[in-house]
Amino acid sequence: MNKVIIIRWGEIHLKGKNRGIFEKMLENNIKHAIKDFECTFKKISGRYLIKDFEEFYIEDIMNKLSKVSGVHSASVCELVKSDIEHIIEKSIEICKGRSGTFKVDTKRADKSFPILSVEVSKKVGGEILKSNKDLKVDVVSPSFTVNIDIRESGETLIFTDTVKMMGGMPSGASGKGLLMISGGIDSPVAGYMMAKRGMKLEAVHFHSYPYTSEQAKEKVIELTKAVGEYTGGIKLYVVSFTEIQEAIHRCCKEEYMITLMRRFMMKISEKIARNNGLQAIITGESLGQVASQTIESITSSNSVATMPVLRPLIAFDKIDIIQISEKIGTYETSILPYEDCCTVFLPKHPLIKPNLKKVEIEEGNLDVEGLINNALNNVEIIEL
Amino acid sequence: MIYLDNAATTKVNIDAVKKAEYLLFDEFYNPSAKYHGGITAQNVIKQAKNTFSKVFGANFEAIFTSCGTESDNTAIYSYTKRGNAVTTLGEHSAVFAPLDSIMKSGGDVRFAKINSDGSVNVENLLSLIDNNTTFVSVVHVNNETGAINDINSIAKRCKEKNPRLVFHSDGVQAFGKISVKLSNYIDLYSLSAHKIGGLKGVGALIKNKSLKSLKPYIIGGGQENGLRSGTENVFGINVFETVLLDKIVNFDKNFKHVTALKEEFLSKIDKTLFKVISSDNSSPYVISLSAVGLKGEVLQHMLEKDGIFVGTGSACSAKNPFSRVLKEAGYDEKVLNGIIRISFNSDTQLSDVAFTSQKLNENAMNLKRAMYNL
Repeated sequence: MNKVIIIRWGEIHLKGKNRGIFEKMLENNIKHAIKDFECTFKKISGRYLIKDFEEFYIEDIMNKLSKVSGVHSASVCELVKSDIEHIIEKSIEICKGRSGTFKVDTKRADKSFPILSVEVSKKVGGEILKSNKDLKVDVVSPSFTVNIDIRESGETLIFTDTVKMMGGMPSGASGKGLLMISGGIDSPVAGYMMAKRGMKLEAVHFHSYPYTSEQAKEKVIELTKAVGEYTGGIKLYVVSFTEIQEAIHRCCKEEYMITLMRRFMMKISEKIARNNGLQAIITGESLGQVASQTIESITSSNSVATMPVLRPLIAFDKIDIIQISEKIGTYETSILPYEDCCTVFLPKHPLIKPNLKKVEIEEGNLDVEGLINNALNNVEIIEL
Repeated sequence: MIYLDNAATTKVNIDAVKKAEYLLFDEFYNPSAKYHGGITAQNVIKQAKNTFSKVFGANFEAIFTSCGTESDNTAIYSYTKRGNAVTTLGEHSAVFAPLDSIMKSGGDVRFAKINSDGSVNVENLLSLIDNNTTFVSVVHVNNETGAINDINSIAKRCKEKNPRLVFHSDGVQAFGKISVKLSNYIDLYSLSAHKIGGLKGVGALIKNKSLKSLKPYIIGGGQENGLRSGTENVFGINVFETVLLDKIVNFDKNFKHVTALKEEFLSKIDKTLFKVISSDNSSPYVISLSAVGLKGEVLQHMLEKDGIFVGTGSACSAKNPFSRVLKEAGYDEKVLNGIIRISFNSDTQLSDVAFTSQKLNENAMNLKRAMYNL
């Protein structure tokens, strides 16, 4: 167990007096992320250190860390006693089998260490060269760097790779929001984007069982769980939308179905958010992507909201959303062929540019409050 | 809970499992081992083989496999290296998909048309057979509609056209449900244990002993006379043997009971809402019907709310929304969308079937009202 992981954070540095609070949040989030692994966690000057773990789990721990917002980068390091023989031996071992160019970069926090940083780099570099004929030194743009960090504790960290992590702000630093999640590609990405900015998330999903399948719901649970990994767990509210859809179908003009559905969803989401102390609604809308995402459609649904509606993907192209979706591991699930929205009631020609006044008149045919209350009385809550 | 999706799988016969339990914890040995325990295990398999030969006739022997699909694939890949293969558009995917893939990679595979009940158009099938036909596969009972193909007569007529061809039939939905008496014209016949109360992961390929040219699909330690390598599932095979015997012994009683179930169901179902796809002479164990103009999957979910589990022929999915077989049988989208499959087991209760037909009628009516604003 002579491997350790060092964790660096980024933007918190900028946060002045709040820095302490944010650091504590980050620390707790990291601890939560790695809670299933036996290891010790400690803070060293400006960084966190994870040690005493089973090496078999390094990749899993790094994977967990990659989902903690606020973590800027991490490195798996070798931990050796601070004496030059050990440092040389381990550095040679790390470079074994590698080729190309390298340099050695030494930092010496322990000023009692008898050799100057520059001298350590020279000495270690020379020994690496002797042991590996495929390597050359290039101090300007090497293909990799052997970092030697001589700590005050009498131990030295040696590493070559710095893995870029999620970045952003620690989860919880930017309030709490309710993500409207469907089974599609966009909404999990929208959730991820807000999580990255430090927003703690809960999620709401509308399903139309028996018009939609159980698999569709399972798919949403899986997607929500994936988003939850970026926020240290997540609560999902599943709202049955069947009665509302049937009522719209029965009482309103066919082409208003989607427009009215969106307004109901927004109203119900806002109620859930308010009842649970959440401060914003998050949607995966992207301008013009589908009929319900034109500026007129967004105006129609936005007009029933009183809290901020955050749309982190509003100006994203589909292809860019897909790219993030692939990166965060939700794409494969999103494209499973279970429809999350009932196709039984979908209009052939939905309104592309709904007129708000007309929408409100159409909505007047419905017992909006009654339907919303019924829906709110039958919410299933799933902790993920 | 009322389970009417027995064509998908059946509840495991608990007595058969209890009887075989000693093979998991006491006589758990590898049948290839040369010490006493291994020989005991080998004897369990021998005994099962004897039972299968007794059931199917002395000219047939059983090769144990992992499932019906493996049995089908073993047969198909053994006889499609040369010449042409002939099959039907009514096959289960376990036969259809490998043959379709052989065709797509350049092989000569011919698909015979099917009738509206899912049975094969025999004349069309025969017209596809020529001197170069090496392999013919015709499903015994269609898994979606229950349509029965008279495989003995079809095999005879096929071999009259070309005596050298190998005739295979997938009997997964047939055995234990309809009378199965294989004639000597049948060369290979696939079975699956879990459709008759056995375990998932156990199947058999029944082989006519005169057929010498079968090639193994899985090669290794040479078990099953080299025709199917891999350590035998002794426990599963023993359970398979027990449930097979149970189906034989109770055949007449079960058949009568399930025929009554089918009659009860069909007499109660609202013919103004449903179109029955299965024909009168199909297997009584499977009934295919369509809530025309409605969605089968929605009905399936509605029934689930009432504690009733049935199958569908379509899914609310973007990929392959309709049943391939029923599409080939000539039905339009309105029918295909509304397909429901009810399949019985010998222990299905008459009262449950009556309740199901009532709930189907009610739910279909409600769905129709909701969809069409009636």
